[in-house]
Amino acid sequence: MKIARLLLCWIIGVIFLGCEHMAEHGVGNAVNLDPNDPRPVLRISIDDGDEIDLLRQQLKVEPIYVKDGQLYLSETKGIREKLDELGYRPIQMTPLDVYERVVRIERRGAESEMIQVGVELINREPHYWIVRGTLAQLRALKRLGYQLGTLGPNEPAPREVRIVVPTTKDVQQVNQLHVDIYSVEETKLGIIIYGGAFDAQIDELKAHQYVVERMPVTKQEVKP
Amino acid sequence: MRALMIVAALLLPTGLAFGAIDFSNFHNPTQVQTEMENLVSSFPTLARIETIGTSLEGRQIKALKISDNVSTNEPNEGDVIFVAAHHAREWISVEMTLYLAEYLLTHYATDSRVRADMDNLQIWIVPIVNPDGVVYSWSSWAGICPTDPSNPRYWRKNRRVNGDGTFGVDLNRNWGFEWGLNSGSSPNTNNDTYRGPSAFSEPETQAIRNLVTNATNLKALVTYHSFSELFLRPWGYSTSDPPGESTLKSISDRSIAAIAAVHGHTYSDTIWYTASGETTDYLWGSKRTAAFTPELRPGPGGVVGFCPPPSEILPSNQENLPAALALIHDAGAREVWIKDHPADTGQEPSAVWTSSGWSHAFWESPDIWTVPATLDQGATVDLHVRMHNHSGGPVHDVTVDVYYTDPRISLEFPNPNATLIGSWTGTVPPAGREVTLPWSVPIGTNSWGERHWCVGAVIKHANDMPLTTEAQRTSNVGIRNFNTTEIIAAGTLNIAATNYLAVASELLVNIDRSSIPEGWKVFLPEKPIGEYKVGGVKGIHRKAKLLDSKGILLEPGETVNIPIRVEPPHDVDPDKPVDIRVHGALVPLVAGKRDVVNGNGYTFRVTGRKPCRQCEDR
Repeated sequence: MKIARLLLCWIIGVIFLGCEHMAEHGVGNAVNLDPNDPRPVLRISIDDGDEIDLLRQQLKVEPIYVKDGQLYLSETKGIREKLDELGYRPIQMTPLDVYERVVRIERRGAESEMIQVGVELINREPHYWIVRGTLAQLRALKRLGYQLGTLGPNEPAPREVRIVVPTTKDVQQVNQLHVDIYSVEETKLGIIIYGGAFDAQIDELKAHQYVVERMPVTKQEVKP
Repeated sequence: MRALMIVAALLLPTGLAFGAIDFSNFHNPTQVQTEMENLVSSFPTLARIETIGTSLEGRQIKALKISDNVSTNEPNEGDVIFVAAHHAREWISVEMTLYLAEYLLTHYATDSRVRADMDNLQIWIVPIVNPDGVVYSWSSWAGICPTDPSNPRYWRKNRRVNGDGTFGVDLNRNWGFEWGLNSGSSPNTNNDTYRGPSAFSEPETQAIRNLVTNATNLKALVTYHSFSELFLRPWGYSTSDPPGESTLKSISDRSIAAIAAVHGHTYSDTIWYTASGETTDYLWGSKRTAAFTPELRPGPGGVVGFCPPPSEILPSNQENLPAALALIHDAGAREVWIKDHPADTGQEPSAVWTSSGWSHAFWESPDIWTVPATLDQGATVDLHVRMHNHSGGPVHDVTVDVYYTDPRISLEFPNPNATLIGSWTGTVPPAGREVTLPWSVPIGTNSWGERHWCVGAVIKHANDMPLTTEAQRTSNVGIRNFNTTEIIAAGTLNIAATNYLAVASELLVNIDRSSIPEGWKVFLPEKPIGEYKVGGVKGIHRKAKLLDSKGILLEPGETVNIPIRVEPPHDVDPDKPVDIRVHGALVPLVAGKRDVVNGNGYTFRVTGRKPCRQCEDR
């Protein structure tokens, strides 16, 4: 009996340690690649945010997201007819092409090969990449043998960056790359921007010829 | 003796002394709630806590209402709103709102100016707009600022489960004016500037929007952020100047000077990058309510700027207090004013929409007139401006700037295209005062070939700064006569209306039929302009269909011509004129409760004579 208890403890211990090991060096827990919502998805063209707000309030549409002037929404009972009446031309979409996930993917082979399926790289971590992709794209990666895992609690983690730019126009350019700007300061060296950026944004900043300094994460934290 | 002591205790002002709240360290959300409750229990007649919404994770969003008669809604009083912690990591912003609340409540009994402002206004303070994010930001706090930006201490957004493995929407990119622009916000859920799936998708922004919408007479909103030491004003989404820039800038300049005067920190008003879907743009763009974003201490730097030492709290609060108090004072009842219409008492709004129509003719001010009334090009006339005084005593150092402008370009006063006719500075006695300035009537026509100009007066003095000048409410819709003839013949009155709002809007035109004698008929055209079109048409028509709009639809800046047909009775006295008052207002094409934005009007003095062309035909 005592031996059985010890054995059980050992098994639990091994499983626990095994999970820890996975989280540290693997890609974490398995990702659910089923659509968030089983209902069909419609896509309509919209002009601006006011129009979405009106649709939400007046027709109770349930927006999934908006990209490039296209509103993706769940198809609810009678909504297609109502949209037709108002002059919209709803297009039915495949949910696998609409719903997205941000996931870890094991680092294997060249990054360019992984990106070929259409996913968007966000961060490069030591043992895995973090990418955004539609369910269809991520399923394709899985079929190619890549291991997919869920994000850790503080992921994706922005890097603190310091960018020195020559003109105020460049500040807006950095902003348009969706860097989370903490502060901007005009100095004799130029305009110094501090902000948070993911690796893909840092790549884009560099592609625009900006000098990007990644600030170190020090072990000695600052006392307030 | 005992009885005397009890009476004395009852009569003494209750409450805390200023400085009772400890600002030597940051308040966590529980402590914020406790401080709010302490203020209410100390000043029960002046403060109360109202729940204005619930966050995604089910936390209540609390507002501290501060006013005399705090338990009563007083719609005639102005409202001012101060909010903080749209962004979870900006803890220092919360401290400023607590400090302001404590200052107001502890000074009510002793500071006559604070007392007057609190008597005149309903002040709303929301220390934490984003309770879920703030709780998350505090969750791993161990008293040391991390340098890793992914540490929860530096969480910015709310805690929406985005459904793709990421969390959070940036609440200050989720407001419904120019929402969704890729410059200044992100469509990607993992970004810190993710704007959400739609405007006002988040319960936290809905809560503040509802507070804004339900305020019957909102004068200003301040949203505290950190850091960098900035004092920002609209627009956030664009680098261009908004309408009313001069008013906003004058408040901003004064605020920056007031901040600098305390500890010598000069805040900048420039950031060089855009932010779309942010709070102040919605307030100014959709409501024409002045709104500002102070970015508090420390100055520019890296991510640890979100985690300033607690020793920065008090100086940050101290330097921002005078600017906040000045803005509150601006929003109070003006002491000197001119009437918009004969029944105007100086309270705003001066004209209201009721089920039976407009309550008064308005923006046809009886307090601005010329002698002679009929103007000839190039003639010098006397321009009269009459001022009234609410204060009960003389108001010194009052300046009146009187402008004329081409109404086809702008109805803002002052604006770069308005011409200053003259200024007067002096004392307005309790009975009021009339000022006369010479005006050389312009020769030629305005930009549309009309001999039509608008005159406006801007009153300035220390107690009535920009938020209460006449200029604030004249700019949204212009309705005016094509001609400036004093008396015109019956037939067709041609008017034009322009949407001066920055959003597509529905124009409502109303004729004040109470002034028209029996037998006269006045017809608005059945389909003036803006017929609904369906299918592949511009969004404005779809929006109108969604709202079942009945008015005329106008894009920003668009003008429509509206012919109004007037038929006198057969037995009309051809020489006796009739006043026909036409008024306009705009209703922005946005969802939710749609507030009417007051416009202006024109009074036509019409006789029963046949129009001249018909006379000749005879």
